[in-house]
Amino acid sequence: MKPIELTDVEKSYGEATSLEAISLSFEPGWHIVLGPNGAGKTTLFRLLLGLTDPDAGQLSIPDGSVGCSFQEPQVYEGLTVRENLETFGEIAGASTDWLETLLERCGLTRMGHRPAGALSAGFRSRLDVALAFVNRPDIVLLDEPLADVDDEYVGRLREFFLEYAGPDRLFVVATHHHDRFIEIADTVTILADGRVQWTGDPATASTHDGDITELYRDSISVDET
Amino acid sequence: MRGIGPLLRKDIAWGKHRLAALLVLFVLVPAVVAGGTLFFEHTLPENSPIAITPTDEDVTEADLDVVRGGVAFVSDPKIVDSRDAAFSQLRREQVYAVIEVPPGITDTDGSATIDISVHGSVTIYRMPSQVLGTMLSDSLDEMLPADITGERHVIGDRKSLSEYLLPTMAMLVVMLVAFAYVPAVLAREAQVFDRLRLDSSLHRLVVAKLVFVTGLVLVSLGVIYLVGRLLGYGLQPPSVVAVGVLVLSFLGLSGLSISISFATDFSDAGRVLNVVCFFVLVVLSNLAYPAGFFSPLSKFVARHNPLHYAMIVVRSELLRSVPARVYAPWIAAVAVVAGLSLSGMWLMIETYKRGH
Repeated sequence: MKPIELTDVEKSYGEATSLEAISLSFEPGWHIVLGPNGAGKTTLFRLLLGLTDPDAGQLSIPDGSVGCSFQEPQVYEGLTVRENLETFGEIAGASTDWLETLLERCGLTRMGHRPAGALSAGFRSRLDVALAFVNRPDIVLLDEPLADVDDEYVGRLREFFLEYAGPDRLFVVATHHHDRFIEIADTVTILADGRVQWTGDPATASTHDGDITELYRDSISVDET
Repeated sequence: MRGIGPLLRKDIAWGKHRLAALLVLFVLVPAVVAGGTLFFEHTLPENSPIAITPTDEDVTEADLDVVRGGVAFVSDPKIVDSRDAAFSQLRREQVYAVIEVPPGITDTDGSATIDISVHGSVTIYRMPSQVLGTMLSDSLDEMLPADITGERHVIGDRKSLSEYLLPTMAMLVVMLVAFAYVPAVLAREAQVFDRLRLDSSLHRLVVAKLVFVTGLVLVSLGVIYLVGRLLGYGLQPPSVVAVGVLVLSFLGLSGLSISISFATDFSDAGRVLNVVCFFVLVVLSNLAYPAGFFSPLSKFVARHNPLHYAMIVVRSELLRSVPARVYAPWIAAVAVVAGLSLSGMWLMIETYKRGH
């Protein structure tokens, strides 16, 4: 699969600049986009999903199916967990076996009959994550995927993500919890105020002795000053 | 305890965030409601159109003009040269009465009878037409040497007010679903718009929603018809034309309400605006009352409103046995307006997508 390429991409909403001259390349593998709230992560995801167009610059997304979990879970609150999966599964042409697998891997089997609107924030996040995989995507975008998930399940979901990813699939995870995905990341991009503050292999954060946490803190604090 | 001060300030802050909705609800709506009184000037149908037609070729223009002058205070009379054309207009509610003028009423000193025909299915005009007959007799007796008698005839089946109102209720249900239910269920979908757009589209979502709700509307129309039959109303068998026109009306109105919803980003202001549209269209369409019942302005607006014609077609199909082909131009117009409304909705969804 070809990489996702962004070249000098800009995006504004009215007067507010959300992304400014962003140039990035995402090869198959794991890519973590770190940044505080309002850094432009969600706008970057909307561009990658094709939900909005850049105002300037070039965006190249390879052919292949895309799945996404959203910062605010996008689920039908009036449908049960199972009905949500069946609805989006049918749209995507997913098999029943795959939907059962998703229910099981995301720890939702016992919640299948519950209306999504009656779920706790953690379970709603898990359902949103499950929905990201119904179409067996080649490109997976996860926007703050584990923010509301309890620690016990963070590990199990990460295990599922890694199994699913294999060598050929492309994962981009946006988060401001910089400790949850760093060890599996092929690249880390630090966004702040709509600009790329740093991008590269986390092991090569040489000026900070490979400590991405410190680099992230420095990037954010530099930006804030 | 700090009293209501903090809570009141909270409401003021809340109001600032919903200024558009509050302006619509507390400024636009009262203005529209107050302005709406312009449409109600009379309690009698002083401006309802009626046809004056000669019984034969010997009737002069002077004869027709005298009769027209005699009923001008209580109607909007127009001369129709052909009797058949006049009665065709009566069946289509283009006129609400036909006055047939015999020859020589202006130069005879004997007696003459002028026939006034109304349709039995336009229940709401039957009583006012008695005033028309009385006015005609009185005014012509004063103006002419002849002894003029106005004789009233009711053609077609006589329908009770309850029977007459059943098609109106069906249209009101269609309007209510279009302006209240459709925007509400679509607003609930807004929470998953982004996810749906990945593997499907907003257009497909809206089409599916319209298909589903159209099915529900058909169920409710069936219920209305069955209740009418159970109550012993003299209804014609349900026709494809009646159902088709109601469905076209529903789709046209839903196109408008969905456009408003997308244009206002499913906000409170949009919801209120849709409710305003419902009431405005109810007032401006003369769904139950004849055009011109309340004022010339009300007649003018109703006669330029496709919903008014849709209502006449549905009423005719359910209460009268008039061939549907008579209404072909109106049905085509309703279909065109529905098509335009849905096209506008399509463009509005595109605009919404570009803005998000």
